[in-house]
Amino acid sequence: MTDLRQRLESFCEGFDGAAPPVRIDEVFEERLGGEAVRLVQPRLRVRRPLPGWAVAVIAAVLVVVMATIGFLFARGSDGFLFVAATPETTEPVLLDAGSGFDAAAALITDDWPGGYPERLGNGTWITVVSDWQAGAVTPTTVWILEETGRWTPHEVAELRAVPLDGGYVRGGLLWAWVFHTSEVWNSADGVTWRLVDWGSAAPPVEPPRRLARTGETILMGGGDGGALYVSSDAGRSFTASTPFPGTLRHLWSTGEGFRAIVDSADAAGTIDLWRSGDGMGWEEMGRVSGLGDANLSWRSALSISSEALLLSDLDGPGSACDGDVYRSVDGGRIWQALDIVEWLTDGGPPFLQPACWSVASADGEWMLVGGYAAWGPPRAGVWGSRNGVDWYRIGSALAPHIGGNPAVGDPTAVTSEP
Amino acid sequence: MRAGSVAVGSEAPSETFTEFFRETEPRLRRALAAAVGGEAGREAAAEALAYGWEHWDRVRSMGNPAGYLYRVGRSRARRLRRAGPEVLVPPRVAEEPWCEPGLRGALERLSERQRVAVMLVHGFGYTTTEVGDLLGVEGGTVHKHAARGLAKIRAALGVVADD
Repeated sequence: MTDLRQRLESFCEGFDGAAPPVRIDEVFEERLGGEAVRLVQPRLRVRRPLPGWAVAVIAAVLVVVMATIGFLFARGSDGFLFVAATPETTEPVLLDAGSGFDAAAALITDDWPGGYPERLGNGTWITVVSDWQAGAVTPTTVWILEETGRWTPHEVAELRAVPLDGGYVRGGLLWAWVFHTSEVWNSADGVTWRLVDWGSAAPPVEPPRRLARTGETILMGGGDGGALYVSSDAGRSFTASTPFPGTLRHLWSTGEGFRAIVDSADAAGTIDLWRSGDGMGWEEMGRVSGLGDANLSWRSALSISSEALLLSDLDGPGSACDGDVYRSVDGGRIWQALDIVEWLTDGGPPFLQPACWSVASADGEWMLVGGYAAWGPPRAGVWGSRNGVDWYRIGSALAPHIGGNPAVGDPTAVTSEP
Repeated sequence: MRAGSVAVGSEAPSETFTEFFRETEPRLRRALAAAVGGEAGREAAAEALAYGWEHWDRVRSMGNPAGYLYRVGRSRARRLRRAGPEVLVPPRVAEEPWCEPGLRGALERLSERQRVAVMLVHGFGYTTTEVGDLLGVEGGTVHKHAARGLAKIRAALGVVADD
């Protein structure tokens, strides 16, 4: 048996025997109380249709209310950006001009070609949203919020520059990571992009990469070998640090230093917490608890303070919505699953569509977006929180199939995930 | 009975559900088992299929009912995992003569997505489109996960690319 696929087929054959088929009578007799009772939603019966003028009044009120809700997304100069699109209408329905522009004037209206918007960055002077058409390999257009308060499309000459992994604004430049090519690009205007040439100093870090920044210090790590590279000049050069003993699961900045979650070298399935002041010298702080298995596809660790974090375990746009949000208030040692999906759905079935929920943080506040009202989740909408436990609604799902991602002006951690 | 639902009577499984069950059960069970382990995956698949029948009027009208039930099963598996002992990985079959030593461990070390993609595509012979429908992703994404998973397995087992 020399072929790997033959070995896999043999393994799966035995694996199938360990998980035998589910019988249909087992479903009905053992799980549904011996009766094939089918639950049917009660039908809503309207005795008398509303007159036309009443429908018009209600529609007008809804429009006003929806427009008002759009204002509620403003969160200061480096605040939230939220863009949503509806596949049915292909019109973005709302966004927050977090860079200080008038949110009402920033509504995208005229020329939006449809597809899911993917945020690139949001800073004090530039906000760029790429147009990622469904099925496209890369976006072809970026939308920039001009000083006039209008969004305008710009064709991107170098398609490789438009990332699928987002980016952030730093030092007057919009930085972006391109997962598929392991490249880093930056741009001063969101249209003309420059490939960052690290030369021989380019960190040979395999995806999924973990990045964290404190001031001018940027850490990039990843790969099964626990590789870690440190830049003290905002990414112009990198120096190899001592690799972690196991796979680097996550890396984040505390504002004063860095912390990392790393697979334990001495016990499979366990994770250790590490800390460092400068990214070069690391100290193990002990075992991490509460995160369950070690195969989480962690996307981002969002700091609200040096000790309180929100760890988002989600699949990105284009994927389904597994995962959860985990909260730690002791700097990352003990984590608590928040059961976000179950909470959003109030115990109902989970979401199916992409980008069903995601999180971002800014100004000591977390933002949770759980959309797709078409699936009927009771709590679809946009929520804010300052502790990860108590959530308050700051916006509603204004249309069916709302999808989008929140972005922050200057995130403390940026990660990429295949 | 779930809040908001009303039982309106009993009926035998419809022909459409029976057909759906026959077509979907193997792929659903295998995917969930690959994701969370044999025992928990089978339990989750059974729960999801029961849910599918309970809400069959709505589920069958969906564009991708099998994918939806995978989400349901994945959610149920998460609850099972928290309530009881963890059964996250394929069962211990290393002692079986047909099993490649080290393969189980290599599969365990893959990400969940990679493990599901590798096992369903290369182990059970499903197409990437079939797996993508179930996972709610494009076939190309499944191909990517499977390729990366295979590469990791090869590295773990010390074998060269043979396919």
